Amino acid sequence: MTLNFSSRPIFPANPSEDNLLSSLRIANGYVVEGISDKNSNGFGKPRHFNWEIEDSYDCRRDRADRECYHEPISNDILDILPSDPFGMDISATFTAITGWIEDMEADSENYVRDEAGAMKGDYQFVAGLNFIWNSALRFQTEPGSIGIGERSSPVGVFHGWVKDNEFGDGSCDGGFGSVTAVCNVEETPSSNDDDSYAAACHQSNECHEAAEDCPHGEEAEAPHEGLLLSLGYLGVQDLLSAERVCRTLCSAVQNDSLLWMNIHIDQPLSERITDDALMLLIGRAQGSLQSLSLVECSRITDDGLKRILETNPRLKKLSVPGCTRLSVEGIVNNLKAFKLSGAPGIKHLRIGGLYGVTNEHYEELKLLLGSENCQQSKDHKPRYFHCGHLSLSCDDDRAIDIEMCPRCQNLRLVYDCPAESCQGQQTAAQLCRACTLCIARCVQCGRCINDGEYEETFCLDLLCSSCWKQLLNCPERQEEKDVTTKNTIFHQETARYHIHLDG
Amino acid sequence: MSMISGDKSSTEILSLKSSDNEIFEVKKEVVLESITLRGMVEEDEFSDTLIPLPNVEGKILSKIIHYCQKHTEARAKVNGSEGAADSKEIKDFDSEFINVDDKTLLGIILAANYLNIKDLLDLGCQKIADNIKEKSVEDVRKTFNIKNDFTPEEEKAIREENLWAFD
Repeated sequence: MTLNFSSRPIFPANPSEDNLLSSLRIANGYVVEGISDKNSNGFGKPRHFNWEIEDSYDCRRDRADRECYHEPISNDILDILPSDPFGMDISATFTAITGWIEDMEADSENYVRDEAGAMKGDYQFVAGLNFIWNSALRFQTEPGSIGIGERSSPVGVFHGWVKDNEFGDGSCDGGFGSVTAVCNVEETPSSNDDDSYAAACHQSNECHEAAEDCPHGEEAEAPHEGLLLSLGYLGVQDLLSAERVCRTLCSAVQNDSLLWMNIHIDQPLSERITDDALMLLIGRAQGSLQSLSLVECSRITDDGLKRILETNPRLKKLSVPGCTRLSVEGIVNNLKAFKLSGAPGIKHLRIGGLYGVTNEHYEELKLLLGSENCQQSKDHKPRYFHCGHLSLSCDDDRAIDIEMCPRCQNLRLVYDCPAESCQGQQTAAQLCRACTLCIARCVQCGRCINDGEYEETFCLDLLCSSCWKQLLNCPERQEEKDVTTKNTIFHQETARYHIHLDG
Repeated sequence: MSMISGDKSSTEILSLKSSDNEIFEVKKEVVLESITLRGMVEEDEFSDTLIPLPNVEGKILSKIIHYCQKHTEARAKVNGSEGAADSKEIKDFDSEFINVDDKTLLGIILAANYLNIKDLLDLGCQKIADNIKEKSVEDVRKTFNIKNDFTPEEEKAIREENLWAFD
């Protein structure tokens, strides 16, 4: 990326400026001709230039200079450099160039701001050049230097700039970059102007302006309003991620109570969430939590649940399947206290997976839920056993998920059978409807497995023969026909098996 | 463009004008998919004129009209005959329809919100949510071109507050 001087006549085609032109070209040429590759180090082959000026001054000094050019940071070189090797009256040159740069600056300010890209680069380039020349001028007037008319070689300029690093102008690399950009002018005249300006701009930016967003790509901005609308469709973990993206999203996630009115905690948060963390999340609902679903949250305690109920009187649905630290007594007591506090109370409760539910508990719960007059379960839609059942237990409109198993009379989750042969049975005895201890079921389709063929999975679930065959027939699993198939299949299965794998 | 006026039957055609002055002629029953427009139309204010929609640009409006047309037709079919086969058809249409670039998607969401077309809003928001799901914070910023305007301290504080939720 270089500047193309040929298409942008920066140098005025003014006879009095010819010397200027030639001096600069030579100045650049000194460095440029040395550049044989794209290396930004401008010291490729200084010897070439040195040979040209050998006749004009002491060649011993040149050779010394040559060495020094490879190590630019050297004070001695300044004393060795010839003041005006070409007899050009360099003081006039400096004045001319300074004036020219000032003109360019003035012009830049008048440019239309819309063309910020190119113009900005233009201005930056000018500013860069200005910097270089000002440094050189400053160098010229330094005490100890011979005088304006004497230290005028372009190399002096270059070194003057380098010396400037030590003056603490606060622009080391950027400035160096600018010089490089300038020096690379002649190298690839066919380069894209914009690219080169961008390069100069980019490099000059570092020394002349505070860091800005990349001028090349789109500026990053505040999130689109549509994103805020979509927050409500994210799960809890994704909401917590979104919180970290930017301030707008953070504020939306933390302060919009609508996002937190229905909280569902599933894997992988289930085993990580504690009472306190849950309270923090629920706090965002600002007291208007309506439904809470905790699937296999093994760290939530009865006390934690109590605190939740105390602070959220509008809670209507509570689902805590597989929360092993919760006890039936605890739930019953909590719901009693909740009702006594004047809240309308929970209307839908899911406690499937909780052990030790006695009839007394069951009756009390039914009372608390206000469902003692509710219709019989056969009026509800049928519930089929499926490995993801723990997550879906809030779907139907029953007040409580457990009921008395028709076969063993225990209070458990009772399932219907989707098998055609089991449909349409009229008598209760023939009805294929019981808990999974009484009637084993396929974990995939929920069909009863009685004497039919079945396979036992690695997780001790049962698969009926047709589901098993379906899994085996899956194309990517054709090669895996050995004993380990069961394990690998379930590792590859979708999230519905995830719960069992983690259990 | 002329408009059938004075015809109060269900084949009445209404004109919608987008923010960039594109005009769309749409059947009334399709327009009624939008609760917002239903309110406007039923008040009889616009039955003879153009309904201007300064919040919606032509490109987005055309997509929304297409969606509403398709859903109106599907609903008519369901009412007339067995709907089971059609629900797969409409699901396929929906997934195809919403498979657009993020910018268009966000435009559709805003328009569906303004026009109050619940199904389309759900469809669009769910798609964006799916795009965000399980992405890292930096990926979300890149995908939606969002600037990180937190100070390092703020960022650290939030990360620590939610540390329990992440690996």
